[in-house]
Amino acid sequence: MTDEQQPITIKISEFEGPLDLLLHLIRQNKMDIYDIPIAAITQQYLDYLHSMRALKLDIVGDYLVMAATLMTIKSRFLLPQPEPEDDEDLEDDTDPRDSLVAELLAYKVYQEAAGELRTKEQERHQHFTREAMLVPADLSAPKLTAGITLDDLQAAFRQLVAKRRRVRPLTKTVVAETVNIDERMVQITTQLQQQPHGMDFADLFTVSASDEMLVTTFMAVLELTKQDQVSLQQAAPLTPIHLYLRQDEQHDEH
Amino acid sequence: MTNIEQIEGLLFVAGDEGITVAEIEHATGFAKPAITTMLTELATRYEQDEDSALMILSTENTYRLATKAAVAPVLKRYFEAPLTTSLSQASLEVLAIIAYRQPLTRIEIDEIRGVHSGSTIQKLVLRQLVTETGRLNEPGRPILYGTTELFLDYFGLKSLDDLPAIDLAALSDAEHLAPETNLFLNAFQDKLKGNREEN
Repeated sequence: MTDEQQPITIKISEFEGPLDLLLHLIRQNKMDIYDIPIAAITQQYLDYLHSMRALKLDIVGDYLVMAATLMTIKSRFLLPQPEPEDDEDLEDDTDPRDSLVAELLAYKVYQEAAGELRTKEQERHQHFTREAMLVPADLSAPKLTAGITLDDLQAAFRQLVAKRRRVRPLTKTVVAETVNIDERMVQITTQLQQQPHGMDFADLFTVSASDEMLVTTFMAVLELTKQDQVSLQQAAPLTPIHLYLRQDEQHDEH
Repeated sequence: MTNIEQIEGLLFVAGDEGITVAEIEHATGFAKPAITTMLTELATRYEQDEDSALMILSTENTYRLATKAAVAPVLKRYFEAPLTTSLSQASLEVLAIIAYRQPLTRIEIDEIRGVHSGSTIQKLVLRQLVTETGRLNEPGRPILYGTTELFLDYFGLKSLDDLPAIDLAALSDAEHLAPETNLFLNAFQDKLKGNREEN
């Protein structure tokens, strides 16, 4: 136990929750997790809660529950313990700290595992792969599975946005674009009419497009799909999503 | 053309999606054991050739052509912005719990972390690192979560057996201190096999 009063400069955002904060305090004070000095840790924990400036209600609730738990355990230690009558079976009287220690131990295990995964992540990030090749236009496309979910589309959109971030120019001119979803839908169907084999979802988005344009395009695709004007196909999860004009729509003249 | 040449060509076009032994078999007509042998041979060849920047990454039975770690600094200089964003601490904790304890429900993840993890789980589902593997036969039929093949690739793991060892002694102590929390892996998974539904 160190007794030095460090000014508390920790922010709630630095912790993943009450268990994370408790483990931090235990480490900082070099306490034994199997034998936590409950009075000291409760005091420190409460000091920390009091020092919190911004109280985000959704987060703070979890911290308050833990504070109540700590105070309950502390109070049980303060109450006089009845003398055990028979000396045979002392195993029965459990330590009030047991379930808290169990929680801390389990959480600590997975926190350490998360650290191991962080290392693995960094190692894997040293290896680069190329995007898979698309089927060349002059070959017939392979059999495609139906059943694309919104999740697949969202994932594809996420990849696009991430890719765009990587190639974002250092300076850019801000121009107000005023394409609404209806106009974009017409643009997309016009584009698709010139592409009998359909086109890649990703090709609808230019690298230089504004955020607004990206979102408008995405919404337009959703709307066109909903209206059965285009169909979407994907060979396998994470492979490029293809857009096709629905057969019965191809005769329409816009 | 040689057989290995064909396999290398397939690996090349498959890119980051990777290619399975079954897909190679379908394209070439080679027998699966022969394919596995040739993949190993190709991987060894890349490894031993100091003038080659390539290597083969594998997860379960998917193989990907990638660059060696040694050339990473040069490649990173070529890309002007950082290529890769790392996962947040919350995401890594949730992933660790799911990886070692799958399949399990959101409630169980919340209990271990002591905080709500719903939005973190959703992000991981969207990134396709985590997926729904079924539902628990209990009131409300809560969703069970597990890790994906992409999860293995993301962390460069060959399989789930490849996960770093965890402190089983501490988990067992926890189990001993509070049996009702049911924190121990095997007991948990055995119990689950009884009331799980495949979807």
